Amino acid sequence: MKLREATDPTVWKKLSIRWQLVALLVLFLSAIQVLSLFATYYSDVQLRKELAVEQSKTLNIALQSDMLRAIVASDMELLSDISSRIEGFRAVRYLSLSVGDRQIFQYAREGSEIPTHLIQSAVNYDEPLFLDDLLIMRSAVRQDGFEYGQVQTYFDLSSYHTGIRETLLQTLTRFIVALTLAIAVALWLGRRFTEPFTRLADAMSEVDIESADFPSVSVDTENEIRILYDGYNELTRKVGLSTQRLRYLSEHDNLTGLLNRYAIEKEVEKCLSSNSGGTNTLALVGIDQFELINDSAGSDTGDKLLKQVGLIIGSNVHDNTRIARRGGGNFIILFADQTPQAAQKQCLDVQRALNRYRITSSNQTYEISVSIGLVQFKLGEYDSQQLFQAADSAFHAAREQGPGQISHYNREQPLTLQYSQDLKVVSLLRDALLPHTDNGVHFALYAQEIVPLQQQTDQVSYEILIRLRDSKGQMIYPNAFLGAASRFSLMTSIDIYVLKSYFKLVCANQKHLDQLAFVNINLAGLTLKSEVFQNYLVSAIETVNFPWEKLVLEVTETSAVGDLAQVSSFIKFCRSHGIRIALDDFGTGMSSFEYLKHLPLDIVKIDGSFVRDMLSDSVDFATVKYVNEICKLRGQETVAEFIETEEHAASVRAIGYDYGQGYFFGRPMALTALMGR
Amino acid sequence: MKTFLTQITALLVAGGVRLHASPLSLRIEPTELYAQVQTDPDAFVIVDSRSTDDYAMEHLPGAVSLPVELTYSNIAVSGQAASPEVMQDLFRQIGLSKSKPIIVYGDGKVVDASRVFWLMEVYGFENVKILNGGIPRWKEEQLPTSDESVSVEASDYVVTIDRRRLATKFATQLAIVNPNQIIIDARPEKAYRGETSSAQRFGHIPSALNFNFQRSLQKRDTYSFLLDNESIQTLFESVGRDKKIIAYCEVGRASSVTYLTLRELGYDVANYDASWREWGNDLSLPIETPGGN
Repeated sequence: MKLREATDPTVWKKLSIRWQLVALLVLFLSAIQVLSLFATYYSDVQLRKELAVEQSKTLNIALQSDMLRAIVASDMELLSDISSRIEGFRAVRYLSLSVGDRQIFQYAREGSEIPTHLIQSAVNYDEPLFLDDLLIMRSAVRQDGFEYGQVQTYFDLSSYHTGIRETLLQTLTRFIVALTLAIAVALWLGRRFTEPFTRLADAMSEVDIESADFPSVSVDTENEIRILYDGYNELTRKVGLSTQRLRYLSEHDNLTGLLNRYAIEKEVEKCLSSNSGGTNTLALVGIDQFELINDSAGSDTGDKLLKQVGLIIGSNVHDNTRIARRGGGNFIILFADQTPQAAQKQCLDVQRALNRYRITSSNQTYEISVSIGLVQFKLGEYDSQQLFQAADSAFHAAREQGPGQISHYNREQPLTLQYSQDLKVVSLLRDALLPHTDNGVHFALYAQEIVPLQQQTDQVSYEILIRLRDSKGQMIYPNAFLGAASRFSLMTSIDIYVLKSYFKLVCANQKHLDQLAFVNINLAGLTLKSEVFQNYLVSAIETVNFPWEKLVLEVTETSAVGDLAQVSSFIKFCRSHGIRIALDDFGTGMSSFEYLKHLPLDIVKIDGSFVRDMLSDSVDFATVKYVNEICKLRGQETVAEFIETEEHAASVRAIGYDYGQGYFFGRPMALTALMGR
Repeated sequence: MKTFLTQITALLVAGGVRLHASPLSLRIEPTELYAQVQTDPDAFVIVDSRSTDDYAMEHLPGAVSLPVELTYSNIAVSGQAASPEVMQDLFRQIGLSKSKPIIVYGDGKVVDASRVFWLMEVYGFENVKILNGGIPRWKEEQLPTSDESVSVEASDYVVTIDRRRLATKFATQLAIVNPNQIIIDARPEKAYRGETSSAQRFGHIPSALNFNFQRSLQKRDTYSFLLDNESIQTLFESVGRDKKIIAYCEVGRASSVTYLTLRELGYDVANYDASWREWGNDLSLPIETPGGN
């Protein structure tokens, strides 16, 4: 085998166990056969030698008397008799009779050569000398203790019939039979012993990890194969369980036990590619103000809420409806192969059920509502990405209509062109964000004055507002693009752009800086959390020569209240440089005064809707008043928005608001114009 | 020691029969034979070698007749013994068997009895002895004789040949060459020297020593007998004990006395029965003629 490996290891390694077995057996048998042939041949040679020696002795004895006679009383008749007698010994090729050195008679078989010279004293009497296939024997002609002469006889070893040919033929026949049997047995054994492995290999190749389908294998025997099989079965069982668990984990939301986003996308893909012909509906369901509840009531309550919402959705839809949690307070419902009416009805049921639901935490009870975006689709109408974008679009449309709304995405109707509208706006926004553009698209900074109500001052304060101008110089208002900007994650870039542009503008104007009391700049909720933004502000504080104590960052209650707690260290950093934080639109969301307690706020801006109706609605008036009192108790400055008339101005001043903002004091104007005043 | 043991054994076997002569001796005294026959008449087969007439006239009691002239094939040509076929019949008729001791006697001149003795040894009889002095000495001892014919049951004897005891022409040829063998010419010196010859040629077989058979005999008035062992040993002093000896004479008759003599001494000896009458007439054989012929 070594030889074989040395010559061509790859061939040997490529052989199956069966053929290796066959090869080894054949090799083994052949070796034995060769040995046996050698042994037979060797023993045959020995046998021939023994026969020849034996016969030479016999011949000597038989011819003894004749030889004596030939020495002492030779005559033709006698020698003729002797010749004919030797003739009978077929193996004798040659015989020579000598007296001393004198050869007196020789016999040579017809066709045999007469040796040119005889072997002399080198060979002892009766000691066999083998030369090739000849036996040469010297013996004495002796009687009564006297040596009369010597006989030298040549025997032909090959003439002895030892049956070697028959023996070899028999051996060869037996070898062929044995070889055939051995190969058959080896093949049978090979198959018998490798079959379990082949079966195992087949079973392994049939394994479908995706579906966790592990066919088990079985065997009758109780030997090592059984151990191997049991081991394999146990392994696959464990792998199967583990795979199922992992699959469950990978497909399910571990909080609610619903499907996760990945799993629902796969389900959606199935619907998109299945040709059942039915109509499917995808619904995005979002808990309104979820972050607010999560932050104010704590994440434990938030988690409880999510679980309950999942259960409520589940109990209000048909069994074949798939429900997933998308993240945050958002859920996805897939009504596969259901009529749009049925889907819509279920959505309404879900909404109604959730509207009745209350969650209590720390003696505080929260009502909830959900916004729902719906998309109906059939095979081939969308790809997966388009479908989800459409659903998003519908969902945002619902959100924009206020809490608890349902919006349908309709490809045919303009309303549902939101998505393509979004794309146009985003394109404009991206152009505007570029440092230089050819088409003239750009942002413009506007400012609206914030007027102190309780004192007179020469200084000026304002809130920076942003406007977008398209290539035709048409002005686009924030409510037309901020939604799209938010959906396409452009808010942080826009916020940074505003800050940079503002600093660039005012830092070149020291006189204006001196005159400036403070400037309010709006930040989207995500911007504060953005590492890009944080890094920008840190480096700006180091490099930009701006009186940072005059900067006020405005965050909206609805989008970012929860975030403030998460970025407390960054807020601390800002405040250490004198930057103040203002809460915008206070009162529109889920916020409570409890909320204000924990937030690092310097300024609170009460939402304009309260101010607008305060003169006619006593509740609003009380709210405006109450907010101010609370803020004062907490040492926070207050700003009243939407001051449109002198009466409003007088009222809020009387209540004690520090600042007023609104058309009564001034409409938004280009920042440059304001600075130039 | 061996002798002693053999004697004891013989005594036990013979059941008290006393043997006077040495049991190895090939001779037996008439008194001794008589004593033994008296004890057990069937202990021996006694063979008379004389002519049929002599036998009919007088013979030892119980003796059977084997006339010596019947044992030659053609004495006119050579001394060669009769053919095995003839001899087998002769031995059967007188009831000889190999196992039974045989005593041969003759007319007292030793030669005929010796010739029968030799022939019996050649034909395989192992226990053959000669009656010392023949019938004349028997009678001299006052022992009884008989003229009654003896009828015996024929034996089932089959020929065997003791080749050690027979010398052929070929054996003699070998002996000429072989220094381990000695050829003894028992004829008178004249014949040996080639002065007289009973054959065409004169002389003797090459390498042969001359020893006239008469020298080993002691003559009395009516008979002769072999000298005592000590005397004959002295005669053959020069002949090595380890040699094989072939004796010959004219017709192998006188040489059978030499044969008996040397056998008595324990030599390995053979008698060339055809003898000079064959050799001397065969021109292909070598001879020596001391006088030059």
